Amino acid sequence: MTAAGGHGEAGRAGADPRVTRGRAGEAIACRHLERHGYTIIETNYRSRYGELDIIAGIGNIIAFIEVKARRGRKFGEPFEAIGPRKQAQIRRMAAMWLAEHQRDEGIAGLSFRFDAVSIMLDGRDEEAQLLHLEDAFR
Amino acid sequence: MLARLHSHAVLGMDAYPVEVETDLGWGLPAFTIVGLPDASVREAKERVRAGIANSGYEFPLRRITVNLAPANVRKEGPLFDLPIAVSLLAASSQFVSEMLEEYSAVGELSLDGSVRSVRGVLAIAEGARRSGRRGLLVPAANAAEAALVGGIEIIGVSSLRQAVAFFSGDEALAPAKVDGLALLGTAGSGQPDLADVRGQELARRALEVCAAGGHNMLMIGPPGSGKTMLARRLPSILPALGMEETIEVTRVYSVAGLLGGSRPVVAGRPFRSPHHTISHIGLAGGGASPRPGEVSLAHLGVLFLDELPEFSRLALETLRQPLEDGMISVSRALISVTFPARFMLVAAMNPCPCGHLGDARRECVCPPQRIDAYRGRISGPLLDRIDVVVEVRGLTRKELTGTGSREASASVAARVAAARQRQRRRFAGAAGGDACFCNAQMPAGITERLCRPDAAAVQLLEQAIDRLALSARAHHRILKVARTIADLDGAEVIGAAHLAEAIGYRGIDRQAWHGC
Repeated sequence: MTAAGGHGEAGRAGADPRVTRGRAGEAIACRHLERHGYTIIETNYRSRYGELDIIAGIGNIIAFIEVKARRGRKFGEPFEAIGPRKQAQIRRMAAMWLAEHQRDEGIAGLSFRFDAVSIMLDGRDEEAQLLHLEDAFR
Repeated sequence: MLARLHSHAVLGMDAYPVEVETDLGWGLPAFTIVGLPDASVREAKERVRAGIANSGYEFPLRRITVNLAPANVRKEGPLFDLPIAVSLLAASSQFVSEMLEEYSAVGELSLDGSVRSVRGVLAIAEGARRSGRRGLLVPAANAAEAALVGGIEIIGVSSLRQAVAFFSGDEALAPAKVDGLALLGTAGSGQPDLADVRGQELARRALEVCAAGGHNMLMIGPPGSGKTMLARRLPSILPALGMEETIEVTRVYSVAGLLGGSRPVVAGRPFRSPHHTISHIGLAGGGASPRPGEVSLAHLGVLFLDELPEFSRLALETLRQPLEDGMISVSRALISVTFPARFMLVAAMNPCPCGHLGDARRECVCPPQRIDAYRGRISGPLLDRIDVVVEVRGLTRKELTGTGSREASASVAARVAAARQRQRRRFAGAAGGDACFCNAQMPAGITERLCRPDAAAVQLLEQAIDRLALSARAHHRILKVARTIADLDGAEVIGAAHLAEAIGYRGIDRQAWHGC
């Protein structure tokens, strides 16, 4: 049911319409974030638990951002797809990212946050509506 | 990045200090509470998070660890919400205070940031004073009960914002005060009055004797004869509670979580009438972390058990310890606590299962075995602790419709107070009598010394012992009741008339009781 593809589908990126849609959504989200002052640090960070869509910084905060793109509301609101299990998965991935970066300069002064971006796509996978939820869960 | 605030937790009738430590660390945002929290403490997370956000503060984007020390005692209840929220705001430097060390705080947070009442605040205030705190922040609804404890500043707060404003010195809050005299003055208001009771001269008199001597009482009579009505009026003729006693009673109700809102303190003598289906746990008190039961809620007041034989055997046996010692111990797997339970027992029952044995106007339809079985449910040891047994008859038509003047509670109360005064003076002068407040509490050793009948009374007593085959205990009980009757009469020596009346209240002694 998830719109964004998981790991292991990378080789077929472009072939699976779900992956295409996911990637399109992430690109739209990155553009939106940059317009609003965020610096994109990393996209599609891979770990054994899965993939973090976007890692972006603003001020002294680093946000781990999950992007959900949908074509219709048939499967509910995009945010509803980020349930407790998905949240735990994102936390684990963020913890791994943090472990890899804990010696980076200046990281000790930073705070961390989990965001969610929901995008409704029109028929041509263009943005129809975007919602950015800061501090979506903890 | 670390902040500490003192708080307290309730165990049984007492409070013990708990230190709330909040640390904000680096890492992914998280909120952990350690220190053996139970479910209600763990849920503090959600209340604190919403309470902080809705009070206009920022919930820090940090790895938050809250420790409730000592870490080896189980913590329960929502009363740590306020100290957790305040220490969290202090740890994230959202306010600065020099006073965090001097005060403790308890309170439940509502999602909108207002502070809700919690149980046991009176005990907590005493605990805070013992641990040398200058003051204690409590929910505004609990300020009156906490202020009964002198010697510590009680600051009532109604919201998290107000608590923070107090700590940071932005808002000066005056310590709560209670007007003891005004409080005691309100005690009697709204109680039912003896003037409402028609007829029943015998039972009224027995009620007065019981009130004067603190004797336990059993009323036997058909349904609708007014047993419940009489019992309900007993608190109105008992002496008013003193300040110390008011604190004692309020403390029980505070720990039971029955205070707050419209009833900030218990000023009058409690009257408890649990239904006969009550479990022995409900009567004695209990729970994983024990709360007081009905016997303790009746402390220094009246415990009324209507339909006495219908109570479960276990429930009735539960009464023995409190009747003897004035307190009850409740033991559970992890803890054992003691609650006060010094009450006057007033019991009522029908003479037989159908209720009409001895009724002039209706025939009793019970077979004798059933009557025996009915009475047999009340054990001898329990009956032994009831000094006065009185028969309450159904009212005649004349009594029902009559409009004769009936004495009001106030004038009976005056006689009772005078009789109690005599008793206190006598106990003060007697060796070993200082633990007694009324005649019913006299230990055996003192009874013989303080209850001296005159010659005629001695003769009457000897006859009664022979004819009724009285046991030594029954003999003492008659002496105590006779002492009370003499006190009501203003006599220092027990006369034959006093003794005769006392013997009358033992008319249904054990042989007779089980014989009929």
